[in-house]
Amino acid sequence: MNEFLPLSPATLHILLALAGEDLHGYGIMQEVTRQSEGAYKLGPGTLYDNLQRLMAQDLVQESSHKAPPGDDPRRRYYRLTAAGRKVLSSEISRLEGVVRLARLHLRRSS
Amino acid sequence: MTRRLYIWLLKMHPQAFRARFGDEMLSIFDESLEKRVLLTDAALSLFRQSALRSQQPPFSRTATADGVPLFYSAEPEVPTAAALARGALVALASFALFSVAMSHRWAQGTWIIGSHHPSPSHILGAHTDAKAGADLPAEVKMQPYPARAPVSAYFRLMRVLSVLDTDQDNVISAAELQNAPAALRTLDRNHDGFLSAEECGLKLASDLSPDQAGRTRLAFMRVHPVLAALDANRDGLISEDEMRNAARALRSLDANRDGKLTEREVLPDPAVILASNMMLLLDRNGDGRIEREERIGPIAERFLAALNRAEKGGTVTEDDLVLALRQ
Repeated sequence: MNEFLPLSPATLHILLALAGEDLHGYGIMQEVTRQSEGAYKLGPGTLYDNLQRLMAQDLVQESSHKAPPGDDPRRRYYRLTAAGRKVLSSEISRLEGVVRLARLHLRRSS
Repeated sequence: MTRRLYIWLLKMHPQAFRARFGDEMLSIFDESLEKRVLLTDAALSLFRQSALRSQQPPFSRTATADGVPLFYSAEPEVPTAAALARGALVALASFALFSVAMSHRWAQGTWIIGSHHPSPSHILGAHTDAKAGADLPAEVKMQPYPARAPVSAYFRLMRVLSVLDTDQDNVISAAELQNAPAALRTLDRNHDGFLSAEECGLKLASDLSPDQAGRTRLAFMRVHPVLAALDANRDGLISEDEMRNAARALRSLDANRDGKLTEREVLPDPAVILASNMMLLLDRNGDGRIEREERIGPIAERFLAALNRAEKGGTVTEDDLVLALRQ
């Protein structure tokens, strides 16, 4: 799993967005905006470029989730695979280590 | 309008990406209010997909499931317009690079591939059964490569000639004569529709009075056959009408009627140049005549004295003539 790390900000946000539930592309974009409190916005081009790669790496796959009635039929839903969840966990652990180290250094310098 | 542009940008994406995500991207575009941001995003995506991502379709995971290699055939795939455009661009760039290399004669070094004479300058050695040291019974004679004649000093100094002689072979060909109006218009730097003496190549001394400058301009336009032919009304300017009629006017200089102008046919007569300069020097009131009022006696005496000295076996240098003619 380490060969995927560190994750780019876009990849991290997409995996985080899908960690909670299956989402369609627009839903992922909205979730990323919500998670980052508006600081990070994904465009469709960046989103689907990452999704294409993540699907090729078997970290994300298309979900069998069907769009509810009245929803745009062009939408497809995506879900995190088990491998994707492991990669996300590894990245979170790595980031926790970075945060711990940063806090230590900051405490020493102050 | 923006939707059409967005759809066009999507259509320019590689086929595999477009087929997989095109509808979804359009769906998001339809839903979003930030249309301009999405247009920029689509343009960036187009660049990313076309330039940075591999267009090779992924291998099917079932292809090698039974352990038997399965080869993917790309034959049914038709190259995309973007791929063809990129190919054309690369081909043009390669051709341009090769042309530049050839024109700079970078590849002119003598490379001999295969020779029975061992030499470090030969790229590949060749073994032969021929008697060592014997030359091959063949003789190749080549004519020397014709050296390109340097551009004539007169053609270089006379701007009108330098723009007319586009291939710089010191000959104004029939085609160059035909193109004369367009070539002459390139000299009209202030775009006033006229070519002045300065625009034709005259470099005026800065200390001339307006009257002297005017006379010098007229003299310049008169003594050079090309300018005299072009300036039909002798007003010292080549007008738009005169430029339009340039081909016909210049053909009047074609003494041997061969359809082109050689340097000999356009060079000014040295006697005319000298006489014109003498007039500029001696005709102080500029009426076109040298008269008693101009008081040229001392100058004439010094000048004749210098020429007499040469006639009697002495030497006269250019500096002597300058001293003789100086007021």
